[in-house]
Amino acid sequence: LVIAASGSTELAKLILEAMLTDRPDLASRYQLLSVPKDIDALMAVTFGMADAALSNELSLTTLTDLYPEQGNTLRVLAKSQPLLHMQVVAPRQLGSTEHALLEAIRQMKRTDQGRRSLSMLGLEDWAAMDLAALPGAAVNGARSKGVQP
Amino acid sequence: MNWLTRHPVAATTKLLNLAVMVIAVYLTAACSSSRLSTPTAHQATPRVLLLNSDQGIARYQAAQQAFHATINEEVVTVDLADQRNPAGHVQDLLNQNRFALVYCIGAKSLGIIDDINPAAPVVYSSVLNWRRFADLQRYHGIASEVPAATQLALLRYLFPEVRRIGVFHSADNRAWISHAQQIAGQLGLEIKAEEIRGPRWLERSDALLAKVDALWIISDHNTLASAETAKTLFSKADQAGRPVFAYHPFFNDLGSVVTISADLPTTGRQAAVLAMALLSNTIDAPVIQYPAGSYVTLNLRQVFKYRLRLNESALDSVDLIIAR
Repeated sequence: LVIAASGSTELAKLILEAMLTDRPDLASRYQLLSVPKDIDALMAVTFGMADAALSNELSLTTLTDLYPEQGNTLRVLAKSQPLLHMQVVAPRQLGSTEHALLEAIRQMKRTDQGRRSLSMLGLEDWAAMDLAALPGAAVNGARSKGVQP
Repeated sequence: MNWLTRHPVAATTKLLNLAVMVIAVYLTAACSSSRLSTPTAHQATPRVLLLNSDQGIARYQAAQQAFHATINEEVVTVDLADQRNPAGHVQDLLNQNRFALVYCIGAKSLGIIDDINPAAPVVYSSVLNWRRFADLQRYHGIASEVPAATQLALLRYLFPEVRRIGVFHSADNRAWISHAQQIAGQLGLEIKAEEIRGPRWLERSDALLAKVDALWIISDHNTLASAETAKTLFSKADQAGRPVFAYHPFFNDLGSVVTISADLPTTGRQAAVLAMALLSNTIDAPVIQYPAGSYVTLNLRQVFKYRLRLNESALDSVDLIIAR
């Protein structure tokens, strides 16, 4: 069984492990095919280069909206638990460099170049985040501050 | 992985997202569970011979590194550019070892292996004339071009207002174009194709350019037989105010708005997965795969020049932006 997935293979394996707890037959013998983008992973299934794909739910929706003949041939086998988006974290005590960097990140949406960079990451904007308020998101006493899309 | 970097899902929370695992509905449970298996142990002696036509070429090196990182086997790797007599060296290696599989990167290595014709199965990638080997027994490979459906879907995603796309092609690609036109229709696009006949087709190219929103350069060696022909075609498209989409990064320097090509590390990983399947005897007929990964280069300067409306939400599908 070949599963196509974009990004970090280690992360994909962790997510698949959690998703396939009731399918030990699959969990023990899949081969991961790492590809650059979600659309590549989904198209790899429709063209037979992979048997299944691991993808963002929104990517599947986008493909189905854009190209229903392809998207509608895909069936969802399993869904993960909710996952955090990308995070930027920094020590609570900021030096001038870190402060300038965080400020640049906060201001990204205000410039054309910044907005394009956000789009390349698949993000709309960054938001300040309260780690303690997240359900089940224990941070083991880490003293950090972060921004979150 | 992209599910960590996508737009927030408004229906739930801005901080959380879901990953899904999907499968094509036409796959049966049997075929989805038995096609490939992973070797469980390293062999005592190397079973795989990797022939790289030239390790100095970055794209060949990228495929080689990805192959090494993926395959669960010891591999003997040879850089043919280092050899005074590459064919003789390969013949000696094959005589002295019992390799179970040969992986060829680039046309030179595949040509040498084709002449020697070893008993072991052959996997190849980064070979532009791969179609010549498509029907040969024991030859399996990764094609050079991203599927037309992927290219067209990405073009539609990036440039939603571009609807009529012109293509020049030779008789060799007649069937391919017909297939692409069918896909284009499903995507709300229209491909206006012109089959070239004779050497003076460029002089008459203005007529097609006048009828389309953009020109699409496909892999067709009879059409763009030389760099000079390519330059002239780009010049004519520019004079007509038509942006050009192309299948290879080579065309970035000529002024393409976007190029959609195979991601070369992915081809190396695909070759490794294919090799592992062959070594575990789960494949018994020649397999040719499309590249599973795409590499998209967008030239923003050209986007502005031709006043194209760019869907910025689609930028997460772009790997490289040329801004100047």
